[in-house]
Amino acid sequence: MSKLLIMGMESILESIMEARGIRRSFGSIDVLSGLDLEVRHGEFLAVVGRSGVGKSTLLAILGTHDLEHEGTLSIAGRVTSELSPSELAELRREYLGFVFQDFHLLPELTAMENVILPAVFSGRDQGPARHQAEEILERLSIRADETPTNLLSRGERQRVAVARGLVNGPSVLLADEPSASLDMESEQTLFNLLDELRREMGFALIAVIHSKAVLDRADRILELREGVLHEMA
Amino acid sequence: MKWPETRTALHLWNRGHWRDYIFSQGMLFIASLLLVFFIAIGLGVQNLLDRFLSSDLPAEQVRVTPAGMQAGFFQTESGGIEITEDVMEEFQGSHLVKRVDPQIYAHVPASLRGRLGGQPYYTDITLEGVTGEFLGDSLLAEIDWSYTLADSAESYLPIILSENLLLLYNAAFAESNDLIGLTPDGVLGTECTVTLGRSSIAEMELPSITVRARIEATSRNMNLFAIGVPFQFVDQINNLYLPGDSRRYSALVITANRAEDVPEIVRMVEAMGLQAETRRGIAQKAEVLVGAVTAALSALAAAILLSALSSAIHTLVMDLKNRRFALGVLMALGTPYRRLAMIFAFQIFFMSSVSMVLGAGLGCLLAWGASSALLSLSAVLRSAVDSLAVFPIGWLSAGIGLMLITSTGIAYAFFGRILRTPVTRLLRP
Repeated sequence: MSKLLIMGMESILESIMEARGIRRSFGSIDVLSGLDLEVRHGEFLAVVGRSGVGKSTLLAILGTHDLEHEGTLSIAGRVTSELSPSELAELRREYLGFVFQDFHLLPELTAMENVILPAVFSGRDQGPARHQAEEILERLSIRADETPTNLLSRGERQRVAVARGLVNGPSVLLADEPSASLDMESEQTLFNLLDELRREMGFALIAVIHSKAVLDRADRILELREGVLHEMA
Repeated sequence: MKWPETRTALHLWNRGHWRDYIFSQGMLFIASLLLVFFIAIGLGVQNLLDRFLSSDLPAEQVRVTPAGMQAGFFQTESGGIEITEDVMEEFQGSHLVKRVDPQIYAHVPASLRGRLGGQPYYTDITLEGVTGEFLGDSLLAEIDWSYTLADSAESYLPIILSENLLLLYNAAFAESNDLIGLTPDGVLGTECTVTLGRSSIAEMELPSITVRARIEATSRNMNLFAIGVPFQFVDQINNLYLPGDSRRYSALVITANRAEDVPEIVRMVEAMGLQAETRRGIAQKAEVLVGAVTAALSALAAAILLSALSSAIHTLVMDLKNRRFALGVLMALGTPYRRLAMIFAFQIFFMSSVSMVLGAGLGCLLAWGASSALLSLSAVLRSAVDSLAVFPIGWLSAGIGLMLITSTGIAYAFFGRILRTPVTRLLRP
């Protein structure tokens, strides 16, 4: 199913992502036990919870990186368990963006190269991808020079990771503590920009967040506790 | 697949990792180099052995020699059955035998002297009398093989030179002669003198006789220091210097009525306590020796190939293991698996092809260089073969192709396993 068609169906589809009865265990430990979640287009969901409660696991499942779970996950109307590895890769590329907790940048590459990496490896035309990457990097105040990312500051790397997550124009951006390395001012700048881009691009943002200053921006705050999500006021 | 994007993908993927490939590709380079070198030189050595060990004995002939070691005048060992008139008559009486051509040594010292290419040479020799049939029908028409001392004033003593003697000259065993670079064709027609009754190590009581001689043919079926001359001439010399001696033959060349009778004649010869030599027997001996050399070279090439290939594959696999994380990132970002696999396979195949083709090219050059160097150092080799390196393009291509497919295939299989690993596991530190 093409992305254009799906976007055209947005008015019909209430949610872009839907998880039902998600269970995930590691040995005898149940991390997620029958979790339900519905993500609507363009909304900002903040996921909170104690350390080790399974927030990163939840994001890995929603990002289709972790497939060893029970329950059903649908993205853009497609049930992930019914898709082949190639179709899953296509789904990730077309609908999902990911900002990892440890950035997961390739250290030898420059900011620009890291950002266009998914487009280049997908065989997409480099021209538009570079143009889009330049625009996003500029808005995130990252110089598109020849400096390898291992020489950038932690904050700069974090912003490169955000830019890489957004470059394909995702429907859902999954961010695992995207502001963990940033000072308060940079954190606010980052989320101001994410809000702005979210309004422009229309992607939903699911972010694991600890900072109370950012939580106010979220449309919904979900606390992960005892393996299920609890909506907070 | 779009080439600019693929090129960029390869460029980004390999950034900072080129050094990792150098070792693995270096091993493949060396493996193909050694493979080509050993195949080329191995086949060249095979050719050389074939050439040295071959015989121009026809299939229906059996060469009969006495059991004891003998070399004419230089008799080193005696005893056992000798080939006398009675023995020859017994063979001549057999219904299996068409013809018997005897050979006889001159039991007097002799020497050969002359000039070749402006260089003087001297060699102590043994004259071996052979009949005209020994030369074969094609040569009989051109060479007058009847010669006695009475003809010495008007004509040359016709000589058949042992090709083995030429090889000895060429191997510089006769240093004082400085006669290297002789070929069987090159010595034909050379004039020289043969002195009878005296050599550098012995002298008969009767005065020596010197006759003019000319090399008319060469043969691989003669003893090392023997020079073939007409049978009646040797008979005459033996009677002149050793009048009381009974005639003993140095060899009999028996021609069977049919080639199928040769085994029966060999049994007959061996039952009499004599030695029999046939083309098949010589070929079998050569086959064993060449087979042993080939097996040794093949084993060596295989050992080098296996160790180099396993090192190369190990390095490729280790490199992939070290880059599981990077692959995990690419997969997490939605890179199509097929495209990743295609890019990887293209890279490995391309790099391995280049390494192996370059290695094979250098292997060919080295083999050619080694062959040229050995041939320039040794005229004995030069006279035997044109080149010590043989390049069977088909076999070399097959060997290189096999290595290429094996190394790429194994690395690709390992890569496929990584692609089937869950992304979360690949991203785990």
